[in-house]
Order: sequence, then structure tokens, then C-alpha cells
Amino acid sequence: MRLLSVMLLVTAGCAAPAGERDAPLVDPLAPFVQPAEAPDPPARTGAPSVLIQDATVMTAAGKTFAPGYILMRGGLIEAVGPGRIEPPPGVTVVSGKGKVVTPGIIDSHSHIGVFPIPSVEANADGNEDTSPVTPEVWAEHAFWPQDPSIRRAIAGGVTAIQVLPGSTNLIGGRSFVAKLHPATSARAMRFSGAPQGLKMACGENVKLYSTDAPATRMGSVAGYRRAFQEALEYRRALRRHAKELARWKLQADEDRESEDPPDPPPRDLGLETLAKVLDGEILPHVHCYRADEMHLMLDLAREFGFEIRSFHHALEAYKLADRLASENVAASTWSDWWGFKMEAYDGIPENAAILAAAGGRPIIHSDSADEIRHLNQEAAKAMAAGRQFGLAISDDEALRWITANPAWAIGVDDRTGTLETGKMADVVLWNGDPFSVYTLAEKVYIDGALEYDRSDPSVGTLSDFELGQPARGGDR
Amino acid sequence: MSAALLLCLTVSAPTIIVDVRVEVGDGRVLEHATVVVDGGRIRSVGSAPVAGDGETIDGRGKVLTPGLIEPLSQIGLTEISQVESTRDDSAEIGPLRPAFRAADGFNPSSALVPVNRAHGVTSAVSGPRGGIIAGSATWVDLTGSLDDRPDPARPVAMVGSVAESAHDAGNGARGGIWLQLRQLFGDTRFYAKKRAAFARGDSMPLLLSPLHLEAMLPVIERRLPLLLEANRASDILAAVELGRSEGIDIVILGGAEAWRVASELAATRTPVILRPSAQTPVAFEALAARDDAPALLAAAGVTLMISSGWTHNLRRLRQEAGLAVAYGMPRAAALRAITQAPAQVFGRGRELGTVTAGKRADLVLWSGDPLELQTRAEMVWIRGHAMSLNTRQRQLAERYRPRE
Repeated sequence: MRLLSVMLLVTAGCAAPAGERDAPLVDPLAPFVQPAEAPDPPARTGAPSVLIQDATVMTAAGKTFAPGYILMRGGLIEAVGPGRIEPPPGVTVVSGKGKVVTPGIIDSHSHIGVFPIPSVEANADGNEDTSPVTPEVWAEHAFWPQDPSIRRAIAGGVTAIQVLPGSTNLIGGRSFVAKLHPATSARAMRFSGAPQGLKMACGENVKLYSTDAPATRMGSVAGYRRAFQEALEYRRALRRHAKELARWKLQADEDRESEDPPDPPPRDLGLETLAKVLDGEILPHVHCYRADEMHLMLDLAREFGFEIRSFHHALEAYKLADRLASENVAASTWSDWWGFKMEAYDGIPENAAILAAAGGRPIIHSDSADEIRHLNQEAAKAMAAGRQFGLAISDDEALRWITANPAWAIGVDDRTGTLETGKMADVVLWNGDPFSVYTLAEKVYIDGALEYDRSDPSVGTLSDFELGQPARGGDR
Repeated sequence: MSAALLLCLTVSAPTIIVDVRVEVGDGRVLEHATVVVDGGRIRSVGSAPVAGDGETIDGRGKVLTPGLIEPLSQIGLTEISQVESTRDDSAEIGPLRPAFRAADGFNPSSALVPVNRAHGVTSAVSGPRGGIIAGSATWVDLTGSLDDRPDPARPVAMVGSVAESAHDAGNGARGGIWLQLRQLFGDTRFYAKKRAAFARGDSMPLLLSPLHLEAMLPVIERRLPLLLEANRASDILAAVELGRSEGIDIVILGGAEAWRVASELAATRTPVILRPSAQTPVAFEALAARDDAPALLAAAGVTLMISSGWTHNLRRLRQEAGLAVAYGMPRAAALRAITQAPAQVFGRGRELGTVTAGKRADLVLWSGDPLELQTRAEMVWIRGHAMSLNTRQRQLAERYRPRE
């Protein structure tokens, strides 16, 4: 979306406004005002330099250094490798002896902030259940940055999340990709430069739990097709306008039919979102459990010329693992959830491992403010299930299910998700094997900034909501 | 009961597990032990080799524990959570339904039974939900046999709620919950005294029918614990006070803020069932929830039972226990919280819950530390029978096994 707005501004012969507070967001020649599209927060580069030495470093990029080190500087990974290095001057050295370093966990599917805790109707802002198709809404606009789950997710080693609208809409709205730096506004937590996603949903939740939604799966597919057909037509109108505007600008005043630039088509915020999906700027994430429905949605995406980035929940991914692998579509799933509804009856613990064995891109996601706190354990269970089934799943592969693969799914794998030089310093120091039930995160760095320290409660930010509540600090 | 006898009689040769680490369930650990199972029972647990016939199982590097026990679930009462026709855990027949019996709806053939058993869960309490008094819970052994149905006349707990979950049933206020409970106990005691008059049709009408009041008699006679969901510290104290004033046994379910009143719970010997992974301020009644609650409760001497909190995934019991350990609970206490503690609280302590000679042979042989995520249950016995570890999930996986 930011790409498109920049494109329009450039077309209009005007530089994009910088992210200053009072910079105007309205360009007189751009077709539409862009008030919701506030600029990203600036990149975080101010973190102190930290060197973790003598740790087992699991990179999620194929290598494990035991022992190894990682040097973080200016919010980025400056160096990572085997053995140890002489600490550069001015660097804080942290001993990783007996401990394990991994990339920060990335949750591709969270409702933190939009379904916050305490769970009360007044704060349940995840489903814009007013129409089956609401691509115009943004999860970012409902995200409550005081959700007490944020701090708890960080303590679970999570450094970035994709917050999605719920699943009662066929097309539920834009996702919000956040770095877990506690802040007082959603925008300040935005993952700078991350593309947005689009939440879509198949199956039971739409037909059973939403108002005015299609009554059947037939109606659901018709609903997606109608929406994307409209988006194709809208995009055509926008492109036509861009050409007319360009021609108008090149014309001398006396050649112009009108003093005013040509009118754009009426702006449609929903179709704008879908047009960006067609252009590949917004990544579609489809909530879908059954294999047959995933097949349908892949066919539908082909019909309209877009690429599904990942299926979510995808309990039957194992039934179409080859297709998901060959079409490069990720699948976000759980280790052992099943049976909570009809379309979840065939969920199996081997799901992620079977997809991995087929060469696909499995992800262990949370969809839960509890589950997000131990995604490392969930990956361990899914790995164990695969191994017990006879599939060769390496620790590095299983670690990718909660780091590199979700980073790819949300479009930030060039910046985070593995421990490699030049990537964001999103790093967890665990007090043991991250695949052990007894292990907890000890220190969590996000963009090199220490956001959680198990031994120091003063690190990080308690949400305003929790401040001063009874019994904090052990008082009766 | 006849079914149990039948199963026992079909056991033939003894099973001898040698050189195994036994985690007894009461906190003790025996290294290189030999355990003999015969006639559905644990015949001996010791360090000396045993001579005699039977199938010998090499337990080297492995761990033997009691079968794991889920202290409250809806196993056998729900197949698919969102398919109403497959659910028998709640009947909307008013806020007080003590005569509702979970056992009446229990389906031993549920697909959930083998799925959870394959991860070492051998027994569970299965109970109803909803309202203020939901009905009676039953003990179920996860053999999956149609001959192994629970006896509805022998419940193990009366289940209810004074938590936010009962707020609507209390007509929108905690006071509404408690006034109905006061009336229920008053009526039950009145009924207990005037049963003969009721039989003659010679008494004033009470809130509930005699059927329901009969079901409450074992509670006031202290033969059946009242398992009450309570999370806010003040609600837990009110439940404890109910136990004291009525002279009944209370078990706290949920217990999000139980750690704040741990001394009262310990002093009144009130057990608590909680789910370690869910200790967050998920509701206003749980604002003081904290991860180290199991450790704090155990340290205060409260009898703690750990629940998976999830009927489809009772198999998470050991992960939940492991999490409690990560947050500071002694490991032996965590294992006890999924074996001996629930067996004792629900009246099965003499039969189940530890690896002890004379007890029923409900056992699990693990590939390693039973609480660890990569450990698997290699063998599961109920009444000395090696249970099938095949499940519909495993068959699905096999059907879609990746081609080499």
C-alpha cells in the first residue's frame, strides 16, 4: 500500500513527504487522500551493542554454532559465528554458557490487541461482522497496545507478530505486522517496511457464525469471486485514470480539455485493498482447514491472478503437501489442535512434519494468547511427532517453523527470522534447549533492544491496564 | 464391575519390566527397578531380579510411571466441540441440576479416548458444565471398551461454579449465584430431614424436585466433594467458607488467584485444579494470575491437581506439568499432580495413582522423561492390559505418508 501511494505521488511529480509530524499526507494531484496510511515509524538503531559469548547459537539458517557468539550493534546483527571473539570496545558482554541463542520467534497468526485480555465484549475488535466482505478494515486500527498479552508474548521469546482480523468474514481486512516494542500507539509498533496481509476465511466460521454471510460453501466461493472481479475492474479504472492524468500533465495548458486534472474513479477503500492483493503488494492469508477447500482457494487465486501467501490453521495441509510445496504456499498450523469443530476433525500431530518432508513451508502459529507463550514447545512437539513417524526433521528445520518460515509468510524474511549478518537483531537467549519443556526465555532482544529479562522485572513495560492492580508484587 | 472382573480374568502370563526407572507418583524414584504385573495388578516393585515365567520388557533407559489422570474434562461427553449433536456435557435445564449425571452420556468409543491414551492418559474425571450446579462427574478409565462404562450411581464429584462462568446463571450477579446456593443447601437439608413426608406427598414444595435433592445428599453427607469453579481470590474464599459452614468437601477448579489464599486452602485441605499454561489475566476474575502459581501453591502445602484444561488434548497433561516445573514447581510434585493427587482426591487412591505393589496396573512406559516434549509413551497398560496405541490420527498420517 505504501508502494502504491508512493507511485501515485511520483506520477504526480512530487516527492513523497518525509515522516515528519506535520508533513501533509495529501498530495493535490494524487487521486485520493491517504490519511490512514500514516508513515512507518523510523527504523530503530539506537540499541546498545551486545555480544553473547559461549552459547549454542541456532541460526535457523542451516547452521548451529556450539559454542558460538552473536554480536548485535545498531539494532542489527553485526556478526554471528562459531567459537568466540574478542569483545569490541564498549560492548556489553553476556555469557551464554549452558544457554541457547535463537532468532526471535515470529507468530504469523495472532489476535493480540484485537481480541485482548481480559476477554470482554467491549474490547473484542477482531471481527468486523457487518458484511461478509470487509477488505477496507485494518487490524492496526483496532489494535490495543495495552493488551497484557504483549509482555507475556515477549517473555515467550516472540519478537514479531502478524495480527489478523478474525474469521467470520470471507474477506476480513488487512493484517497488522508488529514488532513487539511496547508503545502507546499501534503505529509505533508497526514493523517498518513490512507488507500488510489480507485475512480471508473459508469454511465453518463464515457460514455458521457471521451475520449476512453466505449460507453455504458455494456461497462463500461466489463471494470471493465477486469481490475479486470487482477488484479487477477497479484496478482497471485506476490504471486508466493514471494514464489520463499522465497525459494531462504532459499537455500544454492550451491543449488541455479541462483546467482540472481528470477525475479519478470514486475511491473504494475495500477494492483498493483487493487491488493491492492483485498487484502483490498485500499478501493474502487464508484461514482454511480442509484440504479440498485449500485446493479450491488455490484454483480461485489462479483464476484472478494472485498468489496466496499462506494458509492458516491448515489442519489438512498433509493431504495436499505436494501441491503446497510445488506452489510455494506456506501453511501455518498447530502441533496438536483438533476436534474443536467439524473441519478440524482430521487434524494430526504429523501435519507440519509431513509438509516439511514434501519440501513445503510449515509454520507453527498460535492463534492464542496462551499458545504464543510457548511456540518453541509447540514446534518441539510437532518435530517429535514427525520423527516418531519416521521423518527426518532436524532441529534447525523445526526452529524455522517458528522463525524463518513465518518471516517469509509475512514478507520480512530478508530482514529477520534467522541469525545472519545484517539482519535485525531479533534474538532470544534461552536458559536451555528451546525444545525442552523446562526451558524459558531468559533475555529477549528486539532490534537489539533488551525488551525482556527474566532476572530483571524492571526491563520491559507493564501494560497500563495491569499497573496498580491488586496483588501485583505479591500483596494480598 | 463385572466388566472389570472379566478383563482381569483374561490376563494370562505376568509381565516383568526390568531395569527401569520408576517414578512412583508419590515423589519417590526407583532406579533399575523390576516391576511385575500379573492378573491386572502390580504384584511387586523392587530392586531384585524376579525369577519366573512371563513376558520380560527391557526398561533400560526408560521410565515407568502410573497412568496419567486428568482431574476434570468432558472426555466421552463431547466429540466435536462445535457440533451440538455430539455434545452431552451440558443440559440447559435451569441453573441447578444436581441430578444431571455425566455418566449417562459417556461414550467409551469416542475417538478422543485412544488419541489421549496413546500419550499415557489412562483415566479421567469426566464432568458436566454450565449453570451453578452442573451435575455429577464420573470417573472413566480410558480402555475404550463398551464393557467399561462408568456407573452413573457412583459419581466422584458434584460440579458447579461460583465463577464468572456462572454469572448469567446467577441472573447477572455473584449474589444471585450465592442466594441460589443457599436455597439449594437449605432445601437439601430440609429434604434430608423430611424425606418420609415427601414420599407421602406431605411437605411444602421446594425449589428443586426430590430427584435433584437426592443427588445432593451425598454432598451434605460428605461422601461426594463439591467441585466449584472459582478464580477470584474472594470467590475462592467464599467457596472455602461454604465448605466450612456446610461441613462439605470443596475442590477448587480454575483457581487463577488461588495463590493469594494459599494458606486458607492449605489449612482447610481444599485441593485445587489448575492449568499452568493459562495463568494470565484473561478475565477480571483472574487479574492476579501468575505463572508460578503452581509452585506457590505447592510450597504452601495445597494439594494441587494439574489439568490439561482441554478435553481433546488431555495428552497435554504432561506438558502442563512440565510447564509448572519450568515456573518453579518441584518436578516430583508436578508428576504427583497428574497421578497420585487426582486419584486420592476422587477416591481412587487405594487403587490408582502410584506404582505400588497391590495397586491396579495402570502404567506407562516412556522413552525418557515423561514430562519432556520429545518423549513418547511406548506402552500403556490399563488393568494390566497393554492398550493399543493406534489412533485414527495415526491412520490418517499413514494414509498420507510422504512418498520417498
